[in-house]
Amino acid sequence: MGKLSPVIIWFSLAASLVLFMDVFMFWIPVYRLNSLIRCCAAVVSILAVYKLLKYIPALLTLKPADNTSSTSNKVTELETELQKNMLQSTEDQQKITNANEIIKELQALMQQESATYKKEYAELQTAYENIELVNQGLEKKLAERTMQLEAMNREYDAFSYAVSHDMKAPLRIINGYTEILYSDYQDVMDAECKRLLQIVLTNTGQMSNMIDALLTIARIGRKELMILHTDMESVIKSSISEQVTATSSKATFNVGNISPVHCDSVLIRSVWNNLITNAIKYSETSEQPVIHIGSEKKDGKIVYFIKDNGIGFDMQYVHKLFGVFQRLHKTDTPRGAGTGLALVQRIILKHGGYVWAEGAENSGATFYFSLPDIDNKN
Amino acid sequence: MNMHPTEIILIEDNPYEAELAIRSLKTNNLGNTIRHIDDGANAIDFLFSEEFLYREKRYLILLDLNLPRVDGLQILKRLKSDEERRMIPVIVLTSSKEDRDIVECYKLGVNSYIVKPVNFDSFVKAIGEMKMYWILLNEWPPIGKM
Repeated sequence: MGKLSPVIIWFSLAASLVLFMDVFMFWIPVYRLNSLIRCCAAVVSILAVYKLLKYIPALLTLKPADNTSSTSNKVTELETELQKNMLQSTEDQQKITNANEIIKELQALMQQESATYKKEYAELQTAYENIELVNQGLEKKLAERTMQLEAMNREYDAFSYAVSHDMKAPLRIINGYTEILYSDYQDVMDAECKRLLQIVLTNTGQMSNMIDALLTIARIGRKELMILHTDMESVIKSSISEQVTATSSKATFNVGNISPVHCDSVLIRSVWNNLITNAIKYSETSEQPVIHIGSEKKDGKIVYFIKDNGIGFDMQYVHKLFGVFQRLHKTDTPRGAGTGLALVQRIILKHGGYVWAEGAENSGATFYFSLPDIDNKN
Repeated sequence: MNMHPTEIILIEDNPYEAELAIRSLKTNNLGNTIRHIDDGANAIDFLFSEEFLYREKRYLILLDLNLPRVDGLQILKRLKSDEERRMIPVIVLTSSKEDRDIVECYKLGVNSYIVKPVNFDSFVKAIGEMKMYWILLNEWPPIGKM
């Protein structure tokens, strides 16, 4: 509408000029000028109308501008908005305060929790330190016990050294002098004298065997086992042939299924030597001595047995069988020292196994021993 | 194999053991070769004396380990660490079958280690075998100043 303003100005100018001329005509009758101005005014009016024509539809749609009320409306609007905003901000403030309070509560909680954790941690620390102390105490005890054990072992060593070295000396001397007596005074000795001296000699030999046997058992106790995979069947067979040759036994041997096992084969060999010698010895008197050897797997162990059909033993004395120097038969010749089974028990116990026996008088005896089956731990 | 002048030096403190040993040596016709010393310190004195420096005989030492004052191992050590005397064969004659004694002796260079059997007959036999081996079979360094 900006382009409208110059037209309106000209129209207003023209109109006012016309009116002015009307008034001017009273004093100066300038009819021609008056008509000219009226003519110009008419042209300007027509131009104005022409120009205004465009804007009529637009003008018609214009609302009656009630300026004062709209402003006050606007103010009210603004006021309500402001109030709303103020309310909102108060609400927000409240929310912030609430949030702050919650935050404070949470912080307090957190502090509590952290205090609890700190306490628990401190307790754990003390517990840990206590355990450390206990451990140290235990380790000290262990070291002490080990020292004690070592001292005991040394004492034991010295003891067996004394047994072997020192005890045998007088034995040797007794034997030596008896022999000298025997050989130097043979001519003046009667049969009885010779018999008596012979008994002295035999018994010194017996004592020597007993000392050796005790020493072997003691030494086995101290030695470490050399556990290796062992072909038990070949150990048994080799032991059988050795004992049969040594005793010239006529016994028949039936060797059944023999499981291989992990053990110290040297020591186990001597177990078999003892058991087989016993089986041979105590079935000497039977007409047809038969000795069965076999093995069986049971509960993570391998149980080996040797069964003979000899004179057996009374089960009520079974607990004495494995004692050192124990013999259940009067007919026992002083061939062995009576320590074979004690040695067997020592060796098997050292392997973590057990030895036991079953028998009946004149119905033979069966000796069993178990060894752990490392391949088949049940 | 002729018998050169030989002296068997028996170092044994127990008089009974000594008597049995001497008797076994006599049984094996070595009776007139024996010199018996019954104390470790005396043995050292003799073996490291001036007269002993001159080797006029073949010396064979039969040494017991358990001796008063200076013990057998000490004597063995001293002998085997001496330039000249280390050539004398030393046979330890003892009742100890303990590994540690045997090992110790061999470490010090003992020539032989014999465990005395309890049975006297066996002992006499052993002495006889010892004689066969050491005195008759074994070659000795030549006699003369050490």
